[in-house]
Amino acid sequence: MTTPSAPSYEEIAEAVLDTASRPLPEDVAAAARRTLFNVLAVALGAAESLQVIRLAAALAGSGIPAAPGVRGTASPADAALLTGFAGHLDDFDDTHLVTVIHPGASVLGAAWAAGWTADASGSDLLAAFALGCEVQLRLGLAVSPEHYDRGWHITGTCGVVGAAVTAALLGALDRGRISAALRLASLQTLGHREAFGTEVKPYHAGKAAAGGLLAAAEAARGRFTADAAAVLPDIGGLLRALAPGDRSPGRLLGGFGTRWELTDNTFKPYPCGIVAHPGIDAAVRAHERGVAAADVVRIRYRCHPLVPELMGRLDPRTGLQARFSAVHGVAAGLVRGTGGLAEFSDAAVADPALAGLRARVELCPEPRMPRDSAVLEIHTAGGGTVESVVEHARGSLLRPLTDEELIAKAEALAPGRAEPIWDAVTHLTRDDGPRTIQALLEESRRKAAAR
Amino acid sequence: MTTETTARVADFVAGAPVAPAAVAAATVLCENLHELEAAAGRDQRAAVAYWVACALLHHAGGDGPSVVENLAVGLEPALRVYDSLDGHIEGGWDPVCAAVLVGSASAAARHDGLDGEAALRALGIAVTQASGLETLSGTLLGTFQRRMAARNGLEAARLAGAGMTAPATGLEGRRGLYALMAPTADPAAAADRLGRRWLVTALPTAPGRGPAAGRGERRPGSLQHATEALA
Repeated sequence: MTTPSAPSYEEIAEAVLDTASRPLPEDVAAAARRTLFNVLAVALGAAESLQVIRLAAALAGSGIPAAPGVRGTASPADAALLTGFAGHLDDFDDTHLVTVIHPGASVLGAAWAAGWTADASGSDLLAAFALGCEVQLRLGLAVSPEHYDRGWHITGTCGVVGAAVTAALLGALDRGRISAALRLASLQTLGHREAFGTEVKPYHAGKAAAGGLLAAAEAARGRFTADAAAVLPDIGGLLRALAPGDRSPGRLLGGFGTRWELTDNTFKPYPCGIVAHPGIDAAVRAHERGVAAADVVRIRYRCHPLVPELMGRLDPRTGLQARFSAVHGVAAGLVRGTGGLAEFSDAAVADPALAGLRARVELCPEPRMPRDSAVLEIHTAGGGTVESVVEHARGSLLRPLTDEELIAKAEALAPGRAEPIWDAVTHLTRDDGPRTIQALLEESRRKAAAR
Repeated sequence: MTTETTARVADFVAGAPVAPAAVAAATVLCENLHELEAAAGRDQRAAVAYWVACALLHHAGGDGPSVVENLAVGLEPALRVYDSLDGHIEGGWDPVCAAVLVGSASAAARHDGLDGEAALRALGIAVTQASGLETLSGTLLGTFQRRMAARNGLEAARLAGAGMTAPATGLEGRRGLYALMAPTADPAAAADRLGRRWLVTALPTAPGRGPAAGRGERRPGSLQHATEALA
């Protein structure tokens, strides 16, 4: 069955190969480097977490290096899973704001595993990473906003297709096999938003990485490909499943290779759902202005309606749940003047000062409030009111993190490693630069040790 | 109550006694995987049973008495999920894949001895992976997506056993399986009369219901068949 205006899998493969045959435009290469650097640092920062250690133990087996910063080995698919999981565990990675996709983690997982055995250059690696991000973002655009609004975790559903692109390119698959890989990836979409606040959310990114890798591997072997083009000629069936009511198939390939969604990817300054970032910014500003939490009677948090929808947990019990609690983020920002990993730990959740203030924050959604804005009306014991306004949150498209801010973020996640990793990522496109992510990390480790 | 559907399934998976008739029916399924595979081409409920059976046999590495009992346990919620989704799917998703995920995770959770809390997490990890397109039923791609569902259900049980946290309302939640794939279906049906009514006894291959071979005509190679199907 064909779907009018939905591109065939062969057309998508052709577009990917055509774009991969040319050097990345400089702004796209820069966006790809920043995306790779950021998610790699986030994965390293999560490597010693209980959740990653536990998953690494469950997946341990012979094969390839298990994940960035993680000792031991795993099968390639499990290494992809663990790497994607680590990249998204702390909700500290990246966000393409229009689709709400976090593109880096799943593609990092695919690149980590497929790149290990690939005969690819650093330029190839960066291009495969960039195109994996780009295809998943465009797939997301084609089903937005309905898909996410219905309750799907778009990072998993679209991520698997992007991961397949990355794995297929690193595996040097031809047009026919890339289209076969895309078909198999289309049948492994995953992710319900019901899982937010549990480890299944980062599992979505990890499993997307593993699914994409497996799709490319099966396609390379020629399995499940007979008659596939006849029974599933185009991506229309998947688009209909992802967004039964409203979809835009033309956005998948319109301007592909010319207009890049990847350049609109943004990077998180706080490890939690991005819609809460303006509120945290506003709370940090209030802290800097000298507002003391002990004086606060009540806070009216005027916000975009997605804040209670996605970040509506009022009484989180764990650090993972706090990542979906906008009131916790505001409390942390006001009490501590910051919103780093420590503020979203189990210990911070149990901090009486934060718990007390959380209970005094009221979410007040306003349909006309922009997504990257927030207003805190802080009522104090003396009867006064302090207003803290943020027009554009840090890390938003209009106020993106600078390279220096990204490096500082990475330094907090991987002390002593940020500058060397930044250098290694920058050198990916040099002839004598690293050719795999593992080599990139090894180069950075040596440089860090030599400093 | 609707809000407790996934938990009710998990409690059933973790500890429900299995009726002798259900054990007998599951035994015949295990002994006749080839026939079940053939039936799966015509009957989607048989397809659910086939893939759940393959998953568990592969996972358990055999088909002893406890395995067939665990298969019966896995099939009950799986068949209920299929029956309740069928006709309500929105967008063309494959209800068989969703049911196989539930059945595979449930059977493996029972086999691995997971308690109710861990079985609940296994279900949460499994159902979030429901995917595949119904139009591909009967094709190689259809085989691929159902095979993946069977494998992913096993993985869900393994990761739940390792302690991965997961939502407790994967089936009935506001952003759970039913809401996203079949908003007009009733999630409570997934746990309806679990342990009191055994659907496995009504499958076409159950004793006395069809042309399947009886216990005395056991065909060799069910385990090998299952392993090859999952590989």
